[in-house]
Amino acid sequence: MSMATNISHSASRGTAARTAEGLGWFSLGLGVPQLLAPSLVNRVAGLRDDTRSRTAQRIVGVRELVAAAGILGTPRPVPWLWARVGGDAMDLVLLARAWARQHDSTPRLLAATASIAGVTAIDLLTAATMADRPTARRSPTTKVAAVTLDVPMEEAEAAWVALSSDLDAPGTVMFQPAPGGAGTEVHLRVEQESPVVDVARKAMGTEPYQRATDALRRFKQLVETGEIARSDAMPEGETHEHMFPRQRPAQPLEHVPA
Amino acid sequence: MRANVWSGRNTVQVENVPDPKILNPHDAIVRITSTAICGSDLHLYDGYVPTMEKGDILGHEFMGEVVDTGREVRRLRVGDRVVVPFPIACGRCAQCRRENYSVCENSNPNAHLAEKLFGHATAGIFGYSHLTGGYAGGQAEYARVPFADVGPIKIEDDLTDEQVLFLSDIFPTGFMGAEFTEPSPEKVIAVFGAGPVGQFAIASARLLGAEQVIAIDKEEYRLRMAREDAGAVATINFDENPDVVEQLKELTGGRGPDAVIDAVGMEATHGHVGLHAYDRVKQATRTETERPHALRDAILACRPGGIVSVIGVYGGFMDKFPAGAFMNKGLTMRTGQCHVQRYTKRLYDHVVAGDIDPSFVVTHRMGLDQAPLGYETFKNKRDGCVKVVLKP
Repeated sequence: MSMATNISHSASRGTAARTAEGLGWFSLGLGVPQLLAPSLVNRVAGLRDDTRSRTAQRIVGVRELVAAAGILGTPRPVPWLWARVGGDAMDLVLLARAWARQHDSTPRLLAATASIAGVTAIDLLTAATMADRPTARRSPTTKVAAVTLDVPMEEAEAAWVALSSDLDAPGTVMFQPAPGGAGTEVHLRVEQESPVVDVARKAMGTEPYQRATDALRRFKQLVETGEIARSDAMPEGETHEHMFPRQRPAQPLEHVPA
Repeated sequence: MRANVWSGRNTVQVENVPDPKILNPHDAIVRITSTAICGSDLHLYDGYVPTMEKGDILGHEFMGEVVDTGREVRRLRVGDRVVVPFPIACGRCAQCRRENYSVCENSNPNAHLAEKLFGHATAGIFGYSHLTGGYAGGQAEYARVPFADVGPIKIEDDLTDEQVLFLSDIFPTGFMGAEFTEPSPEKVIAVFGAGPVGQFAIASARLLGAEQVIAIDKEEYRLRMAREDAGAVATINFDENPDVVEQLKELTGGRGPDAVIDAVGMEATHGHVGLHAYDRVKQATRTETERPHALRDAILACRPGGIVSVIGVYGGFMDKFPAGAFMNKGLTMRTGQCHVQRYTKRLYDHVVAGDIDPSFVVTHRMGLDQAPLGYETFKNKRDGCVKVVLKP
């Protein structure tokens, strides 16, 4: 019995790399309100809210955003992780001064101090752990999309070559027989780039994994039925680019697309 | 052309829209002579199915005359009279080759959307939201039919539209539901829901050899149709007494029915007051997608070791599924959107032979332009309504 169609993926990255990425997003998440809503952050942290403390928050916010850009956007995040540690030290000094002088809410200040102390520990550990690796590079993510065709392997391989320009498939392809001997599994391995770039591409439907699943579905339809499934809402067939956020209504078109 | 389109919750409108065109070499264009409103259309009408766009043409039960064919169409010719199955199936993928047409792997160009909700995509369906592809439906003057050699069944005998129209959906659906229960003369089969699909489930169970078929509903006129036209041997009106499980035990010497068929689905009318209120509130606030009273009662009523056949439509996730009853009683559930193409030839032969006249469910006929009235009449069960047929 041949396996039913599936589009599946697998991904692999190290723990330190994942934590580093998480810290990058954390900086981003903290930096934005610090820059744009410093009063709010002061109040939440239990700090005195005046012109001076708001300015301090904004400066710290810029620092966080720079760290975020470095960790998420560059291939070598380790120096930026150490920059975070330096920033944590600065924060602890500022908090110590708030303890010594006037502050608005002891419980909140306590919570803020505990949080910063905790994050400092994580930053130190992550920066130290990642620096131990010789290359200190964040490994790219690999994902695999797969589909099963109800045709023999030679036919699938020949069709892949013949249709390559129509398919415009990213990544590396691999064929293997499906269990039962009647069908062929087609696997497409794609490399993800940096998470920030991928989030943007995913929103537009052009992220490599999305393009891979689109290509594999087109391939299966062309080989098995000789045509691409077209509906009134999706007259050009299935592509992630046209799927979100809204589709045209399910009504015939005025004019048929070329 | 004129077409009935979805225009928001609880509204449909008949509008002028472009005529369908051949998009693929295996397409055909059908001029529609009769089309019907389905119980599952009401889930779209009531706003419970996501991914609808204003302007979507509704309708998945239709028939008519072929007026154009793509260059690769071999079996059909212009002028042929055809009934079109509601699932769109390529006929060539592994699932179609197994005759699981309603889960065809190639016919849904919004497969990714469906995968998000179901884990895997299922077949394209005419006029049933963008989850099933965003295909224009058949409550219109014309429809584009993909894979025309696979689905449509040619009508070459002297039969009226109403005698064959229901081969598109509700007759095969009821038949599949009955077939799931492995009917035989001594088995007791309880059918929850005496709407059109329930009527065909009862009639199909009789066709397949069952003799003890019980119908359950709260509309007396539908229960009468079940007894007099579909062949039910007994009926339960749960409006008079909501304890269906108890009444089924009485009718079966305390054993419970050997099999139960859920021909109701996600908008069940009413069960026990407390549970009904729970589901009603949750569904209204869209924190639950289903009102599964019928399925709960069916599982509780079914005798241990029996079969639960589910042909009522469900869409998302339900609360309070009686998993304990289901598991501990060792029940078997069989379910699915009907693989219509699997049954059309066989059921057509039954109609030609005079074993059944499917037109018995039709109670209302009106022009396509009266579709909004048709929906309201059908939804609110006005005027003894069981099935509405529209003529473009």
